[in-house]
Amino acid sequence: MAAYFDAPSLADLLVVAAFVPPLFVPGQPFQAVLERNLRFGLVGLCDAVGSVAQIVVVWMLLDQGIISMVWSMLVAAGLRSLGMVVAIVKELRPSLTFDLRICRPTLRFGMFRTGELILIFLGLRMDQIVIAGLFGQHAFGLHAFAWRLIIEPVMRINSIFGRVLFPALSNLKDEPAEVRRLYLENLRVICFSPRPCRPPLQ
Amino acid sequence: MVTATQWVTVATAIKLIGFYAILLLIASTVSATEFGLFSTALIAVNFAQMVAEGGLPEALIFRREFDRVEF
Repeated sequence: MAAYFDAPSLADLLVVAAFVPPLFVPGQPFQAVLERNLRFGLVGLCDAVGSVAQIVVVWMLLDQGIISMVWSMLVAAGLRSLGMVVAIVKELRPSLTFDLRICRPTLRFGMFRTGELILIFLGLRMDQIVIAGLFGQHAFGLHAFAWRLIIEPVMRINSIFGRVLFPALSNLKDEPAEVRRLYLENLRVICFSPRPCRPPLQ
Repeated sequence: MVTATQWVTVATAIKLIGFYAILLLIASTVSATEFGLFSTALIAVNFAQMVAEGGLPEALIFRREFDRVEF
């Protein structure tokens, strides 16, 4: 990757950044259980603690340059996952057995969802990959800063409806009339809200 | 439902404040090239995270009932 983008120092960042997914991903199933049970208070608390920790780490390591951002992501991911696990593990401790027959329906659902997410990801990030590859890291840095400043907040605000509505509608999946009523009601709220947004279920 | 939306809104607001605070902190100390490097690394990290999750969170939310063995 560092060779493709012609940026040898990228390798140093990636060595540390590679630990973010192993810290972040284990918390996701526990977060899903909390969201499925509509316990968004705990999810919000974990998110907030992670965000505050991120600011503190960046502030403490500011003199070390951009690596402070990567360390802050590591700390935030670890704290967030830990919070999710602690919140759920007492009532639902995962069993360490593996049975493909049990996993198959979930894996099948997840496979299609991952394919969909990859397409969305490429649609959202392709411009960044092209700019970084063609115009270099300086131009991409300016683009990425502007993108984060303008687009990312909008995306985060958009995600509010999706995060709440998906578990709520999943709980009602055997009541199509109620699903339709709730979905249309939320769509109406979104259509009349004065901000750029999209329907919550992709 | 409204309470859930309120919780997520509060958490998103805190995350956004944190997000802008971090941008403000690093804008004065980090060059555009360094930020470009970080953003490039972030593309790889986000992609790896997405593939590693494998759609499992959504699958768990979609399934109403499961025991600890299935979890």
